[in-house]
Amino acid sequence: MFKHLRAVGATAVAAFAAAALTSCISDGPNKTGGVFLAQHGILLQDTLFHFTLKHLPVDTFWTSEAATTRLGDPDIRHLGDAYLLAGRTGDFSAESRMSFEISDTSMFDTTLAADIAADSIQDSTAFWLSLYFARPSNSTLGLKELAATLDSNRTRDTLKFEVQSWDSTSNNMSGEAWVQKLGMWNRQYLYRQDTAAVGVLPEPFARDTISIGTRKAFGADSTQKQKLPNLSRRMLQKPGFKHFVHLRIVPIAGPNSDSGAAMLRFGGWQGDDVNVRKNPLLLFGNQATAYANTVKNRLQPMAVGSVRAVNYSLRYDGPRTDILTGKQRGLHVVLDRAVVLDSIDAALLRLGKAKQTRSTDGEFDLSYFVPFAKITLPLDKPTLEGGFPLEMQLTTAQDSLLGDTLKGGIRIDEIPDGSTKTIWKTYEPGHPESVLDNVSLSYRAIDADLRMVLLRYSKDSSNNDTIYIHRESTKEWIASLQGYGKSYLSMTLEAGSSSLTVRSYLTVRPETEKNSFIDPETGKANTDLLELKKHFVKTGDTSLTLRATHGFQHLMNRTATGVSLLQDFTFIPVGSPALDDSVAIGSKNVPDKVPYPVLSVIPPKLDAGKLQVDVELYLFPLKAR
Amino acid sequence: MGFTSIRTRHFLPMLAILAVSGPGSHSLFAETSPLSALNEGFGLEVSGYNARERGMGEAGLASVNRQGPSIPNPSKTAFNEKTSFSATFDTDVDWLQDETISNRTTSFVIPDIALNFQTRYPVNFGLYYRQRFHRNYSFTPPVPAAANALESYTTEGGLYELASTLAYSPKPFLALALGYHLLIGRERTINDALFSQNTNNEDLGNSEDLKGDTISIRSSGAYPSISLTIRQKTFAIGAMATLGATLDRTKTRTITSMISKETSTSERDLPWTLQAGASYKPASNQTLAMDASFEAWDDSYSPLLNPAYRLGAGYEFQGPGGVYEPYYRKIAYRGGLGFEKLYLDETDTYYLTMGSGLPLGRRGNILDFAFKYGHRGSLENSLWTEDFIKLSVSLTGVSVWGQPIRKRP
Repeated sequence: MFKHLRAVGATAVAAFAAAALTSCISDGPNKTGGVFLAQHGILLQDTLFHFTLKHLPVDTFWTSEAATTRLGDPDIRHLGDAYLLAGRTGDFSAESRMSFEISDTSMFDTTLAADIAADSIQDSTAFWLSLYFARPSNSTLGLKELAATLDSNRTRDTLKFEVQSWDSTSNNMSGEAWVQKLGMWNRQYLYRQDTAAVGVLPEPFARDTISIGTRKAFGADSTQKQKLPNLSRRMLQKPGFKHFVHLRIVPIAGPNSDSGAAMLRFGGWQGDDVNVRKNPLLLFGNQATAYANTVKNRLQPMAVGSVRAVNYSLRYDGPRTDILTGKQRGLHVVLDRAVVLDSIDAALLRLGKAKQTRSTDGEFDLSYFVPFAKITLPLDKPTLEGGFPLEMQLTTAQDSLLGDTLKGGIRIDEIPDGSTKTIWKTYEPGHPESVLDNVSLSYRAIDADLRMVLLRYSKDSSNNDTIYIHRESTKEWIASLQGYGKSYLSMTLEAGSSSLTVRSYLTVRPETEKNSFIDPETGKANTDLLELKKHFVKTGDTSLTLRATHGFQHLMNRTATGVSLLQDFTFIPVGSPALDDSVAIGSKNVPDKVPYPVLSVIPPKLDAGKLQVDVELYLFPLKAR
Repeated sequence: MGFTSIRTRHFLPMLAILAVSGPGSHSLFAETSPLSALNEGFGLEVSGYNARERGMGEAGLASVNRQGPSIPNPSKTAFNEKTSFSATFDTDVDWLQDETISNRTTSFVIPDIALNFQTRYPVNFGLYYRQRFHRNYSFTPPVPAAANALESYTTEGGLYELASTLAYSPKPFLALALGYHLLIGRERTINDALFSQNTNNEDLGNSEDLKGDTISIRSSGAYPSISLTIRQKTFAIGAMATLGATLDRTKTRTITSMISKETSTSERDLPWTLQAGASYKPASNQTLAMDASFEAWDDSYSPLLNPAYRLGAGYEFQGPGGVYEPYYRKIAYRGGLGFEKLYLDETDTYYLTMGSGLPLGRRGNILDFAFKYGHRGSLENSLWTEDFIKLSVSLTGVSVWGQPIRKRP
């Protein structure tokens, strides 16, 4: 037995050694046989083309805001935000809004009784309700620069705001009905985009005017308490009920020559416990100090799902083609594939290179691979608040018709006032004969100026939505569609007096280009913001260049025979775009992103209303195989 | 019952070999060769012999033994007396050379697994999988032709075969077999190009490489085979013939991060083949074997294709040791040589082989080793040469699973 095993073992060891030897003997990638391959037509001698297409005409351009998945809820992204905006600066204006639920009716009685006793106030004309603001002090990044925007010669010490209040009570309501009402009210009051929607809201039940210190808002002690006597009076009429209180803090417009505007930043929802004093609060009682210490004297914004009921809306009344931060508005630059290909052919001709045969059939073109591309947008004197450099990104997608995602195109529909039109159908993936949903738009006149647009799904009614739009104005609306993943339906609405014009398309293959850059020395992605700053928009920049590799890969790849393919390149700020590079710890500069919303304007440079871009391309010709 | 007669300890050496050669190899492919790159062919043909015949110069078509399946000649399994299986493992080192540079690569593959079922009657039923042709070649130029684009080329995959055979021995000296062979092809050629290595160029340093510009070919087809063996006490002859097959091929091109629906279909033919062999036993424990084979490739599809043939001869000395004798006296020792004209590009291959057979227990289980040195190609004609060393290991197990030893009439 042992002899048997020994022999097997010895042979196995020999085999083991041989196998180990063969496994160790390797020179790595094979470098032999190149001449043989060349002799048989397998050539590896292709050259990478590199050129710049100057002044490439843009097919169309327009702007839209990020994350506006439903225009009826456009500022859902600010719901529960850590910061609130209020005020005016340049063409920006912002209103803050918040909702409170007063569920402990004893807050009225006890506080009122205490006030009456302390101040010998005998009637309900006494104010006892205040609105409290504070700027969060946990981060000073960018604060110095934002405070510096308050020009001492032009900015007033205080800004006046109107606090519009809506107050509802639980009179004759069950607990369940009250909860349902709260949800409905918040959707109605808290989410709406702008004052256009006010047209369909009831008139505010109370209006109070408050003054907020502008410089104090950026000072060391930024807390401010403002009394709301008219709301107090309103609420005192029904002290024995639960109350839903919605407040809007709307800047009061000054005269046209008013140059004393300022945009203030306050804490939105900064969290519970130790951060309570950084949140907006309703303070009860005349004795309440700037910050009420006792729970019965203060009320935080109510919970809405997992967030708190604070929100703000930001309006911009400047040119519609401006790229904005704070609103995260991006500029869509749409290129026609045929125009790009003609320009490439001409560029190759100038370089003395042979162009690839252009596909004339099929759906996809495998003529070129694009290893790297970048696109340059000319800028017209960007106005950067606080002078912060701004990080931008490029998102790309192809504009195609819903129902035919291979070909490019934009659909244009006209909907007369008072009518409904079914414009799109969604299909079961891979089964165009199986319609999942009919999607329609309706157009209604609310009054002489305001129009209502209703988006309706025949089956998936949870996505139904409504927006309001002023007559003779334009809005973008982006709707998600079941079964289309990240692709979305993009609509541009032009509200005419008697009809609505809708330009719509489905995005295909939406993608965001990389914003990181490889450090050539280390081969690793560079995360140093100071190094990356050169790619940001800075004061005085005359152009913005962003990486567009994937966008041009997709553009070159798609043939779409017979139809112009429209590739959409969107220049849009990142979520927190502003970089504060002035912060130093000791001798070391520690740049970081500014947490506050920063309001900057980056206008594209237009030439007689038209836009041209420069494109730098690296093209690798693919073999016909 | 069944294969449990091969005990765990017998697998340990095999596992040791696999443990070393598998992970250490660069890929689960066999034998790198530039011939793999030729789209006109199907790659290199893989020998269907197991390590016993490989050690005998890849001869032994007519060498009848009592156990183990036979892929080249299923008819001789009709003389088997037990159900059996075999699996072969190959690992090799290829030394490629062209006019400017040489390169060594290693590889590992399991080229075949076969089962042979004994029945109550003098009929055996066989099933096997084998790799019939394989592609395995990659190339990265030492100096890129274009400074900013480092291209590389890879081909891999091959034609795989699933077959069932029925072997019948109507007379003690005669065995016949019919077989049906399904071919399934999975071949890929891949072009890559690197641009991001241009770290002195900020743009290209941040570029994306072209990865996986791939042509995938899927094919399928089938062909029948017939084989016979005639044995006498001191000699045997055997032959096997296969008909040609037409392969239906579907070609698809894909590129990472790009969309393509390019698909085309075509047909390609595999030619008929004929193999013949003879064996002679000068003594009861010695075997001389010689095989010849022919494949009827022609140049109607491509001038690169040519008729292929192979000649191999070998010798086996089976240790005469009995049950109580030292183990080394029970080992079989083998040697052989051969010549092969490949079907691609008139390429010649010369080879020498050695081998041994180690019995595992008394049931007839055996572990065969074969060592092959080969040389093919020439710098003048093929523009490359290839020297390779191949180590093959076959494990053959026998069992009484199914029906016990049959009684002959």
